[in-house]
Amino acid sequence: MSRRRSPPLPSALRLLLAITSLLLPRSERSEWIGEWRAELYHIVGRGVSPRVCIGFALGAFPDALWIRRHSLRTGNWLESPRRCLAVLAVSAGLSVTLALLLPQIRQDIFPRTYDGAEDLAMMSPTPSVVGSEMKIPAAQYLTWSSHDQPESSQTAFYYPTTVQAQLGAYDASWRLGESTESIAALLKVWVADAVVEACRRNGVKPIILGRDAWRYDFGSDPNVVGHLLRISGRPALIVAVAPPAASDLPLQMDAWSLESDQAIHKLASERFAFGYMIAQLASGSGRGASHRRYRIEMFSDGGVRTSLYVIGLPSLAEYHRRIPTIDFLLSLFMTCLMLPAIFAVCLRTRLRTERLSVSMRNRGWTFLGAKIVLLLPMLYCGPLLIAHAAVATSRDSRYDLQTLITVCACLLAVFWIVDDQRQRCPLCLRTLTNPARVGERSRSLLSFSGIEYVCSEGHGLLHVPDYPTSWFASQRWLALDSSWRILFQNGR
Amino acid sequence: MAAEPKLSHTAALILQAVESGFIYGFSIMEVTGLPSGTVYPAMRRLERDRLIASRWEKQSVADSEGRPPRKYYKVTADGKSTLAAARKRYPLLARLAPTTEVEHA
Repeated sequence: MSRRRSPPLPSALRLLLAITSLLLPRSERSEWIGEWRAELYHIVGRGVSPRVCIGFALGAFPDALWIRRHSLRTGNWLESPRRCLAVLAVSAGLSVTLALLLPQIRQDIFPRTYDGAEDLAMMSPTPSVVGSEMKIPAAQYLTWSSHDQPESSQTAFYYPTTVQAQLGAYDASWRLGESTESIAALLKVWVADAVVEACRRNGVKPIILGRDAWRYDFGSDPNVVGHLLRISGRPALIVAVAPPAASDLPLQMDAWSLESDQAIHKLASERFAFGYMIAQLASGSGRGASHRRYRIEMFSDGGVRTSLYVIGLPSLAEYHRRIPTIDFLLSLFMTCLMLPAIFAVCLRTRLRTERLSVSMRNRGWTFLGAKIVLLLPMLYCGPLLIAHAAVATSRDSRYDLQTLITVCACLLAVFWIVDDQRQRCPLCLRTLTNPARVGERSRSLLSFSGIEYVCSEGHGLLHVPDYPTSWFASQRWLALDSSWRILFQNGR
Repeated sequence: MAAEPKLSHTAALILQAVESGFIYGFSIMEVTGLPSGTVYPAMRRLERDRLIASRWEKQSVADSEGRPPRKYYKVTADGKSTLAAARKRYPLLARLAPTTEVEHA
């Protein structure tokens, strides 16, 4: 006798029933699935249409949910402490994996500087790292660059302006740095001289696109180089895209235009043309990247001595870069400050004060600690993912949104952690079930009024008063001895 | 004496169907025209309230016919009195015709 393969539809429906049965407590699963499979067998045997079969099988879902809701053993899907930790661990793993798989989030979490960035420094008239205080006059840059300086091998200057970039479908307000040509070399991007010359001949402004503008305004288009656009009405050609760490430079430029020497000299003739000077530190200067900030002396043509501060780009980045981890830690700190308010307002009654053995206390604290540890990755990566999905245009807005979400999520998490912990049996750490109202609020002066929960294993009862009174201020745990367990065996 | 539970029309219809001899889930669906997602949870509720009781068909009977055993339902004594009260409330329930469906006990 040849073996016949079962038709695909009944097999799929049997699989659906098997999956649905996972909603049920293990003790009721086999009987439930046996009944549904037997009925399905008869329905298929009667040759009814596939639509009827599918409709019948889909009805298993509300049935399973009903049993689940009314089962003694499944008051809460996180009832079991092991399942609770397993769900938290899986969720934490998923959120971390998803965050690390997305390159933009990975770059935010683990910011990296580009090769050679350790040799770059900002030349500032003050030791301050505040962007506006690091500006120097264009004339001072020209004086520096016209003399041999032992400190630096190459320098660049850019003058920040705000321009309107016409990007086809829409206009964007960009921060443009009108720069010397040498900025390309300092940003470690290669731009052919012939291209720059051709641009100038045709009245086109050659620009190096900033990383964020490339990502958000051009959708990370790999063929963006050669794209023609208009900046404040003038044609401009994208000749390169800056590396990610270029956003560590002051003011986070959206683009740098490569200006001719004449344009820079024209800037220098203006009294208030203040901009930023970048220098590549000379290898023989004896000072490496480890020197974060130091002062040097320079002499102008008239023999006037001027002080300049050299501020290494990596150290500057540390001050200016918003790292999600720092924002996250700040959010956690703010949440900690709010904890007393949470306990006072949300939790209504004081924490339980029953005397427990050391091992039970340790078990409870371990479970509490595990929940916190497993929630932290979710609280870190979840807001990052949401902020990246919601805000794609501005890094600062994204970070602001992430901080806001993190604070809200931390508050909710703290509330859940404490509330969940309070409603667990101290012995088995299962969530207490079957809440029952006891007493009347109008008689709380004479008797207990509140909710009574029971441990489904029969370990005891938890009495939660509706509101704290002088004689019943906190939740009370009433332990039941083993003679009570027989009443709870049906629930197993 | 405890008050008899008041049944919804759907629950009363299902109880009447079981009383009429439609003792399997799918046959109840067929005769009442209700979907499985309504019939089964309602039967769970009726069973919880002890208005119907379920039993598994004997494995030997099912094996002899080469099919899985089915679970069948029958109305309990409490269920009969509740159904009688429901019939007064929903007179059209009595129109549900009895069947010849046979239980393989």
